[in-house]
Amino acid sequence: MGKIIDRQFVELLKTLTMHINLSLKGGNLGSKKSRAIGSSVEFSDYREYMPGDDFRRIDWNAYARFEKVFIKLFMQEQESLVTVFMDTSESMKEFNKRETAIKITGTFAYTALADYDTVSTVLFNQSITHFLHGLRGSKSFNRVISSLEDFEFMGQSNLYDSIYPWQTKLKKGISIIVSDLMFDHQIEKVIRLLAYNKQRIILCHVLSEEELNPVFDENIQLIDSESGDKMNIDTGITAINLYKNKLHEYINEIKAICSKYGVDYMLINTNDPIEGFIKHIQSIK
Amino acid sequence: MGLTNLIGLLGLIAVPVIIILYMLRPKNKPLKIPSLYLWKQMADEIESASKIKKLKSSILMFVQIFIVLLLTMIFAGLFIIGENNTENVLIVIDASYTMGAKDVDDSRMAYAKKLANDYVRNLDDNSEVTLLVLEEVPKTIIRDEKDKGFISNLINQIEVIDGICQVELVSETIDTLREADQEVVYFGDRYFNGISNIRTLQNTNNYSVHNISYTKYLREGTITALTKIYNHDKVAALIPVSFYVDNKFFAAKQVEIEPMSSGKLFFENIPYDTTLLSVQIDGEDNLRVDDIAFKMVQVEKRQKALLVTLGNNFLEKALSLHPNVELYTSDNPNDLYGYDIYIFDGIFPENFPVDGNYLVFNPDERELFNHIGYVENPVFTTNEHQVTNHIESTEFATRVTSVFEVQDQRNIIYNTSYGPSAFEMLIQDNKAIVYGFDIHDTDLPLSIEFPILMMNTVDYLLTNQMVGEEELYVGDSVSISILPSTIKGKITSPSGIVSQLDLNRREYIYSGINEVGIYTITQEQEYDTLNEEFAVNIPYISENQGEINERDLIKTPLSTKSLGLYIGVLVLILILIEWFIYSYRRKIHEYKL
Repeated sequence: MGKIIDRQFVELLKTLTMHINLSLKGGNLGSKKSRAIGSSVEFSDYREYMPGDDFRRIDWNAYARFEKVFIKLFMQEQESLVTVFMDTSESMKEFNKRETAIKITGTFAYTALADYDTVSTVLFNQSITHFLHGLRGSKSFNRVISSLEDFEFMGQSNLYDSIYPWQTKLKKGISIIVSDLMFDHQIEKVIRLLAYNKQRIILCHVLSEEELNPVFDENIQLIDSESGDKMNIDTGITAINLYKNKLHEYINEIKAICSKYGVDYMLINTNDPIEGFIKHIQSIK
Repeated sequence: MGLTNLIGLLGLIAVPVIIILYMLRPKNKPLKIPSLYLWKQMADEIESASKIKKLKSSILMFVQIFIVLLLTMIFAGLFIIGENNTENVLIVIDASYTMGAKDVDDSRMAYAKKLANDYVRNLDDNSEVTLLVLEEVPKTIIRDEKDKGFISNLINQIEVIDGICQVELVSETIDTLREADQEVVYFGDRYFNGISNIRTLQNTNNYSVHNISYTKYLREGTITALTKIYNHDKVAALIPVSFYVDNKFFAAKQVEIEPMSSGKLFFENIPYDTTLLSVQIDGEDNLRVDDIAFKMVQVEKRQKALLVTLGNNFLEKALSLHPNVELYTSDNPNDLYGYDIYIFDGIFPENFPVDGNYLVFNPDERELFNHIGYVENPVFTTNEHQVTNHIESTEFATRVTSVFEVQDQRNIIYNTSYGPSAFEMLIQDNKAIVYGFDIHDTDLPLSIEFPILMMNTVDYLLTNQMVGEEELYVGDSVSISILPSTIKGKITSPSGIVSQLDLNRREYIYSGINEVGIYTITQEQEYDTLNEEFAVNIPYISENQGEINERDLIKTPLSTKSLGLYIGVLVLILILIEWFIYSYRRKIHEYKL
């Protein structure tokens, strides 16, 4: 166990029954029920036999009853490929954002691994800095924990340039982005890219309380943790109110894009307890 | 509009201090945040808001500067000239000799007049002015006058006197004159509690000389004089002093005197026959009138006294002790002439001599004395009288005494429960002391008071001493004895002003002493003209000088309205506004947004 994802947190994950209700097509057989009619044991429907059908699936009992040849249709169970893109730039380092991002990534990874899904974790800043690909089984969770917790957050972010080369590794599945999006995010471009790669997208927008509701007195020099850029603020509450308005616009803009592409958007305050986030994931349909 | 205390303007130093503090205020506190991404997107808006904020900050600075300016105005005593205030004003102008000091304007008095005229000019036309001038005795020049021109003329006519009005007398007079709601404004160099004081002095660079005293050494034939020099200044001074004997230079000395203290100077080997001592301070100072002091040296003149008695050793011995009395005796009371004092002891002439004063013992029952009876074994009481000076006990036994009718209680020397037994009176306009008993019938000669009583009696009757008082100051009254044979008398002031003596009374009270120097009394007699001089000096009042030193600022008239109260209220309001803005700035911003 790590310092952030400790035993207590894992116990919490275990007690929560998490099912991300996604319809997946393609991919390895896993525990996710695919809309594709397959050869699993779970019955789905009947239809009349057509030439070319696998005659092994003819329901002979039905033929005896109706004198027509019917074929049994079964739900095909497929495994999900869950990819978590986690922002490891400098801006994600402070104000509990790093811990929150690791817990979010850990939550998705644990849930996916527990459901026998394949998990990839991709850490990025300007580009991909570290990844674990194709993890299966609960035992892989420890690798995920250590890779997340040992990684140093630094540099600036570039989401699109980071995801773009990864698309060759994507299969139909779920992509989760964990970031504060405090950069020129090109979020629509990124979402389009992931959607093109048949990804169900969940966007976890991680912001600290200091970013959501900044409080400071007059005469402050703000210093960008990533670039070191400085900005003098002499206006106190006026500047804070301007910032809040701007942040509100920014979030609404992202929400609008997410809504357009069917992306699940979650705004996570790092000061809020992680249980709230987990319950929110449960509500995703 | 004007200022009463220019030193208060030093408060203006705070203005650049505030500006510097604003310029030096701490730089922005660094605060690391995850990203400036959003902040940068609204840099322009923040910049414009910052400009407004800076303006607000400047407003706070301007408010603070304004507060400082207002406080400075309070300290500087800002006042406005009231245009429409009707007031009942008692203007008090000090004419004491210290107002002649030249430390401000032409003199303190000139400056006081100027300020008083300004004050009167700025009063409302309906204001009523009472003008009180502080001479030796406070003098009300005018009451409830509205004519400003007339009041100004009266103010301009006020002159500095050589005397000084006592503080207690001033306070009593003001209390008496002051009406309800009447503003009392004092113009002068002193300070009085409970009224507005417009001080007209700038510094106390003054030296003065007081208290010349002397001792005569008969054996050595010399006089030694002592004088006291005062330094009223706030710094030590080496004061040169010249000493004059009978108006001729005798010696010069220097004395170093600490601030606000005095020093003594001795002058020795002064000729024995000197009649006038004077001391002059030669150093420059603000006030010249107190730089000189005079002292008359008493010259003994032997008086002729005739004791008319059938035999009285007690009286003869006692009277012969007097150094100024040349005693003669006689047993014939009639046809007497040529003596200064006639002492009748039990025997009396038909007509009293006309050329001297009289001491009478055991008079007969003639109408002249208003004899009313006899009292055996009387118990005496004494009245306040020059004759009973230094006599503590009246307990002497008397077998019998005559008692008399005396109209004026002040003339009684010894009283009994049945009437006065000893008294003073006038006989043919000559002074007389009458004792109603025979000394032989008393044990008075055996008491220690007897020689004192006789000395006092003779002193009172000595005829050639016109002025009894030795120390006289400007403002004092002097009692002048009119000699029995005087047919014309006058008194001449140091500046040559002549006043005629009233010869109707033997004691003439002269209250016109208003100059420093030597006054001369002249009494012309049929065959002779007698002159006597007395010296008048400046009174020394240390309390007065002390008060001046405590407050050595010139103040301009408060005029009609001081703005201190109004400015103070404005300052409080501004401080409250600033506090409110500072404390609730966040809420104010939120409300605006």
